[in-house]
Amino acid sequence: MATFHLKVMTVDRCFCDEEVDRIVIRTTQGDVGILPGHVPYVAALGIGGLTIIQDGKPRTAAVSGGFVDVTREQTVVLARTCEWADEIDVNRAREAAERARAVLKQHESEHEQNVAQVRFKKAINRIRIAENK
Amino acid sequence: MASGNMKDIKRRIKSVQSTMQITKAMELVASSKMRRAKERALAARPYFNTIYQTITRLAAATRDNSSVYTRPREVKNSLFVVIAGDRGLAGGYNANLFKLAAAQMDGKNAQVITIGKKAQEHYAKRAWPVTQDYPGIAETMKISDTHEIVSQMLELFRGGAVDEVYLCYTRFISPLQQEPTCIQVLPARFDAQETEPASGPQVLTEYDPSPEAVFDAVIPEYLYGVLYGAVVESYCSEQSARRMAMEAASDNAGEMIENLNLSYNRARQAAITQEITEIVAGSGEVGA
Repeated sequence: MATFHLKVMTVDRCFCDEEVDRIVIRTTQGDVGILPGHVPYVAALGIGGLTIIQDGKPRTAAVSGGFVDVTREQTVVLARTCEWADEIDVNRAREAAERARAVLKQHESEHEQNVAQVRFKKAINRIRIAENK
Repeated sequence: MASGNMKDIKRRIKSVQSTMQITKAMELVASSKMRRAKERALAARPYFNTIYQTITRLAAATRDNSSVYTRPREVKNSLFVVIAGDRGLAGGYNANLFKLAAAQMDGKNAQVITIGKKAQEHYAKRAWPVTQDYPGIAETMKISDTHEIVSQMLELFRGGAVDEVYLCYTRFISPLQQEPTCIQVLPARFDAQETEPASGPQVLTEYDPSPEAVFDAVIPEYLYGVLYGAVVESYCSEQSARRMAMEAASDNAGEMIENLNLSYNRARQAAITQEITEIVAGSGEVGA
């Protein structure tokens, strides 16, 4: 079966640097599947999941921010944050979600609201990924 | 008199010894911190290189309708992000950086964002207005720490309050060599020549939703990466500079102790000789 080279990187860590079958990634425009031989493609990433299918087995990670860059030679995912599903601390994510929700209810300034909203989304995303692994 | 001199020397030896103990301890701490900081700095490099490659390619693709981040403007106000250490006793580390920053700011209408306690203290006493201070973040720097700083930077830049942004940090070349550096981050410039494919047809890349939108989304990511890299490198440089300074201090203290020991022994010997002379003179008198 055809494969392509995938690199998943954050600033402090290289998550994946291997041949994979296909990936599904959440861009700002929605989920995008990338198969071997994909046309060169660049998109910014939203807050969501990254599913990597390698040797027929899926592996998921929670990703927020960054971008994906597909070229002929390889696919690079540069993420702002990235965690494998089994590394997520669900309790911490729950607490973060609670805290963000509390801030959202307080009707703070617009900036605070935006920050809290992003935090809330990230926390929810982590919980979702961790529980669906 | 001789015994008083000996006591003085003894006291000095003790004080130099205790100083040496401190510098030695600081040297060890700095070298272990440096090792960790170096790993972190090296781990950040592949990310940075990849993002730089991508962005240069993107910049080439969007060259015609240039984005707000790359368009050069008439410069009225400049913003300097100065990254220095949180503590002193690191040789010329902080001073060298401030000297370079001052040279760059000369003749410009500059304002400053400081990172590190030493930078905060330095610019509190200077004429340049300080936009914001971020002391004490370098040691535990995370990529999320850069978001606030970068968004502030972008806000000022997009709003027209500043027309260019510089980043002053210390590049880590080797444990024995660090170099204060000043780079312009906004408006961003990317060498288009490098991106030109050497041969073959131009590959048509698909941008989702559009090259401009992707470019504008990637630029902040790039800045996060640049800022993070700069802070991590500076921190690493700081620790190496401190290690070197403390090594030199320990060496000097060792040398000083050696000299003092020599004078101490001389003084001791002089005292003994004098005593013998006195005894001999006394006994001669008794014998006569």
